[in-house]
Amino acid sequence: MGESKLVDLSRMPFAQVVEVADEVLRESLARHLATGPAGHRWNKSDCPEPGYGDQ
Amino acid sequence: MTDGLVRHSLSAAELAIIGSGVLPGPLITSLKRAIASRNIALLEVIRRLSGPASATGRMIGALWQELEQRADRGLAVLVSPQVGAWAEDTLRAEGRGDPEVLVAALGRRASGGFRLDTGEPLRSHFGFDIAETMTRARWAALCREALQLLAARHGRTAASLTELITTIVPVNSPAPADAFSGTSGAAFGAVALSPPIGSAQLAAAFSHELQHHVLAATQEIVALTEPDHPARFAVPWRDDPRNAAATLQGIYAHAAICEFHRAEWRDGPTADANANVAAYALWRQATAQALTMLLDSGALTPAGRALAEAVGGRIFPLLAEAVPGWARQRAETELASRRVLSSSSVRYRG
Repeated sequence: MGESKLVDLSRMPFAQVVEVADEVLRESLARHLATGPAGHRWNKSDCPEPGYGDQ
Repeated sequence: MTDGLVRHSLSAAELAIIGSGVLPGPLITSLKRAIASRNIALLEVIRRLSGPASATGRMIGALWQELEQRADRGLAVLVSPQVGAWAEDTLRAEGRGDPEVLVAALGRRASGGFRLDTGEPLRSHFGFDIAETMTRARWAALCREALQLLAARHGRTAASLTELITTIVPVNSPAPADAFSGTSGAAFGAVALSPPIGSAQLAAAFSHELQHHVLAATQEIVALTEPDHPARFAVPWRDDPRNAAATLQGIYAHAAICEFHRAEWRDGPTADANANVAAYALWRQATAQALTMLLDSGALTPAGRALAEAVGGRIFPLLAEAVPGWARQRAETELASRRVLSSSSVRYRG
């Protein structure tokens, strides 16, 4: 289902995080940073839903 | 991979489970670990950009040392929305962020089930005025009632909610006549909410926003839509055409809303039955048609299709369920008035 570049840093001893190669960090963040901040945000401010506010 | 490092991954079966809307505990943990890995990477890049001897660099270095000593705290700290929002905003500002903001945020304690956070970094991250019209006691009471409602009739949502949403940022709605709720993938676990008028509205908002966090975490691991695909979709929950990734977010969230209103119509308070069946009739049809457009567009990756087809397994059968004629008619009128959901509503930009 597609190769993930996000390395599992959550299981690494925290003392070793400072030794992770720059390239690994860059690859891990590539998907996230490819999308601008607005692309990570969702709201329903412009889609008032019938039945929510007038029940 | 040949470098000995373990990558996050999701199988087709796991993507289908996410699409089904029922998340077992181990899968929730996998999603949280993906967010933790992303936030660790963000923080470490910031530490290097800022310089290990800078105030920011020293703070992050100290965080690694503290977590090394308290590994049991690691996951909870690293998936916190305060960490994610600060790291995201600081990195996008090329490392310029106040480390004291993060230190202070991590020092604030949660009260009750959710942390009501009006401070930085979430205040600036969401960028709305903080709502001060409702007391913390009232927020706590409404949250408690909303969780009770969800536990009573939406047990699976309640279970995921308590695992994934930790923080509420009370904000003023940009459109004061309407309730507002919003999420940011960077601030995983936080929901920005305008003061709700009641626990049912709050429960619906929780159900909706929870889905955005689940899908955001999924998308940190695998691409669900083809990057740069030109398709734009007119969807009934927005006035502006949406790209495939945003359309999938809307479909996933509204699938949960369909199920919320269906359960409330069938098993909830009689006084609210008409409002709930009207909402159910509207959103099952809107979600099904938007999903049909997306499945036919070629904009989904194989992973996205595995997830979306599982959403279809929830939504398409609902179209055959009998609802009162007036509710069905009202839904059709509402959708027609928005002039969307025809095949011509798939728009392409060059």
